[in-house]
Order: sequence, then structure tokens, then C-alpha cells
Amino acid sequence: MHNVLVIAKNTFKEAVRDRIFYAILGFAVLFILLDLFLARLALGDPVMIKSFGLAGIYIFGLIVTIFLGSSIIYKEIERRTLYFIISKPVTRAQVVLGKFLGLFMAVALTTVLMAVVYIGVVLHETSMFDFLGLVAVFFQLLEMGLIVAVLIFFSSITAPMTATLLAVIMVFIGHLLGSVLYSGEIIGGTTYKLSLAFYYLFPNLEKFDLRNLVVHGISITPHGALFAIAYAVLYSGILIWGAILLLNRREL
Amino acid sequence: MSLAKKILLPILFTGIILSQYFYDAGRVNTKTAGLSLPPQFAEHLDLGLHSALASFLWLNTRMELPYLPNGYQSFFDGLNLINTLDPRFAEPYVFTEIVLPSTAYPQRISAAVAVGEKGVAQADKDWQIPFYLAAIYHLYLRDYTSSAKYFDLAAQMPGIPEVVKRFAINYGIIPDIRERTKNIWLAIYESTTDQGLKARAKAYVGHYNILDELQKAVYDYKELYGKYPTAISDLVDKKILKEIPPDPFGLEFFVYSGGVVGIRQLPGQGVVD
Repeated sequence: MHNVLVIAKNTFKEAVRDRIFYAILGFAVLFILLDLFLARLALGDPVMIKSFGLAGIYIFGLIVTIFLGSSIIYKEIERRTLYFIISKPVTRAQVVLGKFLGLFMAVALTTVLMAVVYIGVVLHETSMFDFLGLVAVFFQLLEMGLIVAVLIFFSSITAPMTATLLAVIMVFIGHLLGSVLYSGEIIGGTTYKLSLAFYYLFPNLEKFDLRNLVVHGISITPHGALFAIAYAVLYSGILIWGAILLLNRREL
Repeated sequence: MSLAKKILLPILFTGIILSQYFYDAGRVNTKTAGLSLPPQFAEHLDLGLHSALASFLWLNTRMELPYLPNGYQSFFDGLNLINTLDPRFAEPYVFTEIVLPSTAYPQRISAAVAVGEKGVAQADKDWQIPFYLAAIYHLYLRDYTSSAKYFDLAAQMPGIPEVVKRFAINYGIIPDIRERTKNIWLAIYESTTDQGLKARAKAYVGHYNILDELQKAVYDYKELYGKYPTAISDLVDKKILKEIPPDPFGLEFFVYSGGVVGIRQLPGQGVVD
């Protein structure tokens, strides 16, 4: 466990030292602050203010995650720093786990910083503390955790560009699965069975999207929250396990 | 930084600004096509950010307002997309109910009613949606039963201002139609934050106040002279009124043979909208 935490700490430090991290964070804060201007156009409508703010946190959170995560394992192999690490009494599994935790902490830090700005903007514009907005941000973090796991999985077998492309495709598919299943149901037959397989096998990210509910003052049920958390933990676990297996089979 | 660079840099920036300026000055203005996406297509591509996309599209669709007299199809396409993406988003329903109805375009009145009824069924609970729907039924369609139904619904909604609630509850017991109509505009005037609508409501209240004042003067004339005036100017000629107040909409007042004060457009005047 100690080794995992050391690698996580170093990955976190490396991530937050990256200049691109600050550039994206700067744009994100600017975008959320733009909400102050949009609030004028929206005539103070809280739905518009909150939906723009939460969308900004999501989009920039996604950009940060993909930028930082696409090369996370591949870079270590290319730079041959992984050879140095595994020559120590450190297993490949510990490396993968440490990388996951470190990157997730960096993504979480970015998201929390953006959420602080968002809460301030909403408080300023509506004189209300958007607690439900924080719930939506928490579920967004679960989604980001899953995407970090997807990136680590792809980064252990492909080049950064391919990993980025695959992760973006995964994110789109993850938000489309409900519609795919619905269309499959209408068509029926083999298409339905195929869409059902897609629905259960691909990471279904719609359950982490509380943004469309919380802007209208609606929250998730405890039952839904529990299963969404379980889904994120289990799916991320499988992907990290897969990344460990792939890395173990790789000759270095 | 060397002197050459110090000089070159502002020159380059000036060049950039001038290029942009002359590009804009010489640009041929062509009509740009509006964003027209099938709702399902937009829903699939927005990464689940339905509410944010609906809000963004609403800011654009609202800009269609000045073009409404030329046809409202484009506005309606945008509204349909927004309603599909986020059916709970109340603002588009409220706004449409306020701006769409017009006595000059009867089809817009029925379209506004359809939007209002959709809003009552699926949007967040917002008193303004049933309230403005009731106002459309009363003001444009003279359907007092539907009007009473939606005023009653508005009165039960959370957040309704006290003055509006009082009016909505009392709607069915006010005997005179003009009095009811004036009260609707008074309630709108006291509750809306939209400055355009507030000015319009104020004009209507003023309009009905003048009608009340003239009607009272006509009855006073009858009491004094035993007959109704034949022209509205008789009220000034016989010193009942100092002057005929100007109508906020520029309409002309007259007296029917039965002593009822009416309004008509001045010659050459367009439709009051």
C-alpha cells in the first residue's frame, strides 16, 4: 500500500506541475465566471445559470482528465522510467493503482476548484447555496474516475493519440447507450439483443449525469445513488485489473 | 527587447487590427442559416448536457423575437428543440406566452395556447405559465371558463406573488369584464420583472382607466342634459372634462348611441399590437 501511495503522490505532483493543467484550469474558471455575464442575458433565471456552470465543470473536467490520462502509462514505458520503477521492489499492479489514484486526485482537485467558483457564482446571482449542484459534482467525479480507469486501460496498450480517441469515443458511447437500447427495442430481433449487450457491457455514463435534474431542484434517490457508486467502483476496478493484466503480459 | 522589435510589435498589432477592420467593412452581408437540428440528433450529441444546450439554444431562439411578424416557424422549431432537450425548463413557455399572442395574427394566439398547455403539463411548477395562459384565454379568446381554470391553477402554485394570487382567486367573482381585464394587467404590472411587459401592462391599465373616466363623464352628461353626448368632444365643450386624455396606444374614443364609450383606430393607423 505504501508503494501505491508513493506512486500516487508522485503522479499527482507531476500532473499539477504540468502547464497544460493550469491553462485548462484557467479557461475553466473563466468559463464559469462567464456565467455572471450569462446571468444578465438569462434575466436571472437560475436554471440557465446553473446549467451553464455545471456544463463548464463537466466539459473542462473531461478535457483535463483526457489530457492528463491519455499518456499516463505509455509515457512511463516510452521514457523507460517504468524499467527503473519495476527494478525496485514494486509490482506492476502497484504502479497501475498508484497512477490511477494520483491522476484521480489531480482531476478531483481541478473539479473541486471549479465547483468552488461555481458555488460562488450561483450564490452571487441567486443568493442560494446550490447544495444539489455539489451532489451533481460528486457524481461527475465518479464518472471522471471511470474515465481515468478507461484511459489507464488504453494507455497501457496504445499510444496517447489512440488512447485519447478511444476515450472520447467511449464517453460518447457512454452517454448514448440509453438511446441505443431504445432504438434497438423499436427495431427488435437481433438488433435488440445486440443493443442490450452494448447497454450492459460498455460503460454507461448517463447514471452519473445529475446535472439535468439538479438544475430543476430534483435529486437522485438513495437507491439510485448507491447503485451508481457501486457501478463506478466495479467498472473502474475491472478496467484497472485489465490494465494490470495487460501490463504484466507486456515484455519490458 | 531590441528597439527594432519594440517598433515592429506595435506595427504588427496595428496591422492585425486594421486588417480585421477593413475585412469587416468590405464584407458582403449574407443571410446566415439558423441552427436547425432534429431534437433527437441534438440529444444524442450533447454528452448528456441537455439542460445546458437547451439554455444556450434558448438565448439564440429568443433573438428571433423581432422577426416574429414575418412568420414564427423558425421560432417554433427552436422552441420545439428546447422543449425536447429540457421539457422542465419553464422560461421558454412563459416568454412565448407573453410575446407570441397578437390580435393581428390569430394563428399565433392558438400556437401560444398550445405552448402554454404543454408548459402546464411538463415544466417545473411556475405560476407564470398557467397565469399567462389564463390571460390569453381571457384577453384574446374571451374563453372565461378556461381562463378561470388556469387562474385557479396559478393561484395554487408556489411562489406566486400575493397581489397576483388575490386577483387569481377573485377572478370568477368580478362582475364586469373590463374591470377583470384591467385587473389582469394590473397584476401583470405589479408582478413582472420584464421591463417591456411592464410598460405594456402600464399602458393597458392607463387605457382602461381613461375608458372608466370617460364612461363616468358620459353618465354625468346624461344626468345634466337628459341625453347622451353625440361626440366625445361634447364632454369638453360642456365643461364636464377639461380635456380628453390621450390614449397610451394612440386610439380614438367615441360614444355609441346608447352612451357606451368605444375606441377606434385613427385613420391611417396600423393594428395595435
